Amino acid sequence: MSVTAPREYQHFINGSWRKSESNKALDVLNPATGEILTRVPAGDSRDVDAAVAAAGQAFSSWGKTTPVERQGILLEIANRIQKRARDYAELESLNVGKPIRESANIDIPLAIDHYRYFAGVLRNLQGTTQTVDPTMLHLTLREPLGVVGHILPWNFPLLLAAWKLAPSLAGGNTVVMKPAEQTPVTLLELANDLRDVLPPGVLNVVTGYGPDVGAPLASHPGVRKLSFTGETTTGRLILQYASENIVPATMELGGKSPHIIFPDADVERAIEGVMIGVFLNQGEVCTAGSRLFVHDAIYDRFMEKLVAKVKGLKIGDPMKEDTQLGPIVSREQMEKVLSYIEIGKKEGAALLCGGTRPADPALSKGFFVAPAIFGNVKNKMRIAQEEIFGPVVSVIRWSDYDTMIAEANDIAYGLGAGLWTETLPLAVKTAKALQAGTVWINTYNALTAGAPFGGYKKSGFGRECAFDTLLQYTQIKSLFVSTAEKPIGLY
Amino acid sequence: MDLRFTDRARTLLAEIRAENPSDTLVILVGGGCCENTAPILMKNFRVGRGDRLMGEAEGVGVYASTDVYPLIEGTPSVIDVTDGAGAGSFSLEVRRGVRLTLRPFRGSPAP
Repeated sequence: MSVTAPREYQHFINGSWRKSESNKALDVLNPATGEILTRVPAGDSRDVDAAVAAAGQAFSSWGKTTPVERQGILLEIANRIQKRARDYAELESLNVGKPIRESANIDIPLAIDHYRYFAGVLRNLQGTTQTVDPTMLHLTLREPLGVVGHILPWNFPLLLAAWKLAPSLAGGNTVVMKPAEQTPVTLLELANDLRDVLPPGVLNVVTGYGPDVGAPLASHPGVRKLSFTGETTTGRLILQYASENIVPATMELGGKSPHIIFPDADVERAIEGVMIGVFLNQGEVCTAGSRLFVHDAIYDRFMEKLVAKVKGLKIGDPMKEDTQLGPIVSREQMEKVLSYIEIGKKEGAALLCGGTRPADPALSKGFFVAPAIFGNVKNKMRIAQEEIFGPVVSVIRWSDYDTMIAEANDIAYGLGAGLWTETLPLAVKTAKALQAGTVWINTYNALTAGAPFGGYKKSGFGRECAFDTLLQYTQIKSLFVSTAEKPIGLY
Repeated sequence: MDLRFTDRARTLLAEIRAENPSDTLVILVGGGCCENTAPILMKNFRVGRGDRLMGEAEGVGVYASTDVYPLIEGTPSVIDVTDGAGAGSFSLEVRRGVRLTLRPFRGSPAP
């Protein structure tokens, strides 16, 4: 390991570190050890006011930059992250607890790619023209919105920051970001690394608790768009704030995604897909394939292999290259995951493996939970309907296609869905029947810049990662141009 | 439904109630990304037509959203407090370094 976090951070406002007006700080923990990793300000509304003011000031010139200039800057952001890619990966693993093989191969490279993607597509940010009549042209201009407020979750800090920051900057907006208070390290590092890339005030980062920093940001009259990834009730609260200022909002609010195994699935690949679906990042993924529907004809064989594989997963120090599961992000989240294990048992599901804190004394101070599989699950059980956000999969045995599809869709959410079959027409028919923003066929949790990401139903609205996203960070000006040489003659 | 409050939860709610004398305080239990089924204590939140009242303590109504209520109504539950603020919550108590939780009640059922 080559990098450590400094003992303390400050807010990053108007191009430099800035002490919090609150004079308060909070501990950021390493979830693998329970030790303090660093401290960040527990900011308040005065810090948010300063950040929004700086962003508003910066917008007056950033909003007028040319697409060529912004493209160059976005490419340079990608290069800066690339240069310190290993540092970012290690800091992400230290802070979130995700295995280093994931931060180094997924989080950081995907984050870099999002800046490159939006650097490319912003050159296609064009309007339309039409001839209204021989002396009248109509054209549309795509203009930036102004200051954008982002509220980030803790599961993919630098990657989800890229999902929101890259299109915001590409569209010509300036930004105030609130990272989750427990996972602010990589975003603060990035802001500092971009001091000589972005003009002061274009990117501001304010740390602190949701009610003290998130709420003042979401309700700030100087903010012209909001984007939030997190929990549904908080999403509703933020939408109420958005309504006060009449501003648009992008909402990504989680899921409980169905993952369907047909009898003709390639079992070896499907089992790996199931594990990618629900054990990547300890299952702390909005699209986790946490409701697994396995067909009756292969259920016993499939489950026997799956349980054997899951029992062999390497759980431990996220900084070790061969670790497959790290700790849960916080003690409270770990306790909640463990409480769902109790709920599942009481509901009559069969716990087939895991679901306890590992016996290894070396892991006793970290927030680890052994990966769990529940068999004999009914779709109406709480463990099938509620997002657990941990390494827990609920397995439902199915035999009738229509019943299975109805159950797969019988959920408040609609973020992701996956299916495994070698029969193409069946795959396409099923993908169309599933109410989800993303459907994976013979793969799971695949993501790429350019693929719109977002939810159906109560998983939210708006799409990230794609050209549509860039459009959502602009507003349209409709421009009529007359070349008439005489009055129309109406007055 | 059978919803209890621990003494610690009542004390916490009373303190926050006293700090915000002119605000409406509600807890809404929702779900989703990063928090699972969790109580969120909010100021001046507009409760929706589908939200169901589960209980009340210290002048704070506890509601569950229309999707969550049917899942939890059959589980005798208790609002409690744990040390540690979790991560990323907008619930009003987190600045005190604690977090409200909703967990199944493990004692005898309500009379």
